[in-house]
Amino acid sequence: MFHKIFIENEIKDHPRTKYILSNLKNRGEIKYIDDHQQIWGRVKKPYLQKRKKLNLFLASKKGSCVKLAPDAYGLGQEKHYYFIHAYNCIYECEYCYLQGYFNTPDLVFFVNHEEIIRQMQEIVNQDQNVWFHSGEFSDSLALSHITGELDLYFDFFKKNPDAKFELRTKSVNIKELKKLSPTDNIFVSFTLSSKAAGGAFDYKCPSVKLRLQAIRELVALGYKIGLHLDPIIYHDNFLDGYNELIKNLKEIIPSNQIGYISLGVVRFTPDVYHHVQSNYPDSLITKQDYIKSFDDKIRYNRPMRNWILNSVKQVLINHHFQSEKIYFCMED
Amino acid sequence: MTLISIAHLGEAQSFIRQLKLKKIDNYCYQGENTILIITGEGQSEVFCLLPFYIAKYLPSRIINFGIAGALDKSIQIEKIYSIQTTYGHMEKSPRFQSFTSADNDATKDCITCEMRIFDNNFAKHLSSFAEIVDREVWAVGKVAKKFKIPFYAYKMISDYAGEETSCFDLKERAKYFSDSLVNHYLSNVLTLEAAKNNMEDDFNFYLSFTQKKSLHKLMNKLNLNTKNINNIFNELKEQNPKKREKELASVLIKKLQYSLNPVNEKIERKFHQLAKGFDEIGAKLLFNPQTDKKNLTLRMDINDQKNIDNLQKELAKLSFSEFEKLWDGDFDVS
Repeated sequence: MFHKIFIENEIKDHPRTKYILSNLKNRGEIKYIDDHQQIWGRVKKPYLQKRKKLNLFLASKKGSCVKLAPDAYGLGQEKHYYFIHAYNCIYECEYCYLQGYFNTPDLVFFVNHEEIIRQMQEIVNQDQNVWFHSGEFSDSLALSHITGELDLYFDFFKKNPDAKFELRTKSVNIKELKKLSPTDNIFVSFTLSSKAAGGAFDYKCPSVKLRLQAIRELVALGYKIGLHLDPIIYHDNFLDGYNELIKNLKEIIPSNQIGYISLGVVRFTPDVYHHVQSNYPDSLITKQDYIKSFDDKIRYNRPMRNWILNSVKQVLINHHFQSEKIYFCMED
Repeated sequence: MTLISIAHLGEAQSFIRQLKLKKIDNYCYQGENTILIITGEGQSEVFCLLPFYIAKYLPSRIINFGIAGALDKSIQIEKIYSIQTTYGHMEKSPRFQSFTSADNDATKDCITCEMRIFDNNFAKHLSSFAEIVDREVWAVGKVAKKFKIPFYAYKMISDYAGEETSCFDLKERAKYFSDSLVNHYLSNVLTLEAAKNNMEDDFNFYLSFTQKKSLHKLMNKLNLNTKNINNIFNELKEQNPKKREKELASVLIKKLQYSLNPVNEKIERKFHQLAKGFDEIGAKLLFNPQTDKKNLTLRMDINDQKNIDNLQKELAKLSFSEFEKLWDGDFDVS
């Protein structure tokens, strides 16, 4: 699975390091290093090398592990934070901002979850009514059977019932979740798109059909579900595709188990867009017209993105999803 | 024209002989459609010579051949590897920039160092970044990128980097390495497709430079070739025999833009409805979706009281809320 595994000397005897190594079959050469930052991201490793030579770094996260999220990140007026437990992702979505964010596609798993939780507790001690999100820099579930840290977070949110937890994912790897008990403040949120868009842009990801199946199973277990229909990419008959998706979602998720639904239209920083053009020159994404928008991001022009967002929102309302649970992500 | 760069004459000797290259000066040999440059060893030598010969001969691709050391036991001695990405190392630290060769099938990476590697610990450190180490290819990649020329690199592995490295042995075996490399070039590399020049075209109508650029972008996005474009243009010409070619080219570009993004066509048509009255009185009501600003711009030359009267009438009819509806995406695309 991994070409090489780099382990920081400081954590080579850490129980979680041993746990991760014990779960990695067919692992590559192991190298011990002082600090992952001496190697990880020190040189510009092309993003698409993840297909042939993906390395894994096991490290200890130093400094701030929990960050305040930008405006319009989540629903409601509460403060939203994301925490950093890993960098990079095994999936390869054409629009993914990670391709221009770090200088390498290599994965980092941070093993000091106790420190992340300590920092989260400090925030909750100041303000109980906050959101924490995982999955900002890495899929929350894709490799959770290898890293095995979810129980620590579930314990934290059981002890802090006013704080809310969102696990963002495109994975169907729900093995670990099945071992745990859902609570009202934990939301497993799936990023979804029309079947056609999922097939065209989400490489190495489980199909939309499989993601729906995973949602069905989690709903049956009592989990609350969040939905991110984001990024929406315009394509032929895209509204029909979203209509089908939303119809399926309505059949699967009862209203009381839907936490929120975010809608967002495809957008890139100029740097990420440059990477998308170079990594996927034949993609439909690079063939569309964009403008530089209010926040310097590359987006569709305003009437078009408003039309897309309003149209999909209307489809949700037509299928009796509650309007107050729907929000537009990262739009002013 | 292919430019081959090699560090030493010893490594180049079989290329000169087999490709029947003629000496031009102390560093350069020329053959039919091939230039070979003996750069000397190390990155600074490459930086000194390569740009000069690129500027002189304008090659369409650069190929670097040479011998290199292995950093990883998966690398076989005396095998020739095509390099995927080249990393650099200078003054005891890795260089941030990397350069990826045009060979999409290559899988091995090479790190270029400012010195030969005689230390096992240093070799181990370098192996975190690449499987192969050499002295030049990073510089070749950097120059190639500056000149926007695709580059390839083929490295024959002489030995394992570290304490086992033997430079004396390498000199003695230079002819053997050179024979192997040139044979690899003749039997494998020469079949590589020459870099495509996308700007070559054969349109049978007149276009301005800007139109040509737009058209090339659209052709690429819509997977159209020159023949397709000429056919569409001919159809347009039959439908509009009185229009000039440059005007028709604008119509053609618009048509392709709309076919790429039909929603934008709706947006423009909807706005045109709002602005139509202004057109009729010689004014221009403009909205540029590219700016992401909820702005209308009005332009008109006024040289008569009648212009002012007409403008007042049109402004009285203009509904900003209609424009806001368009801005908010409240329109039908079906």
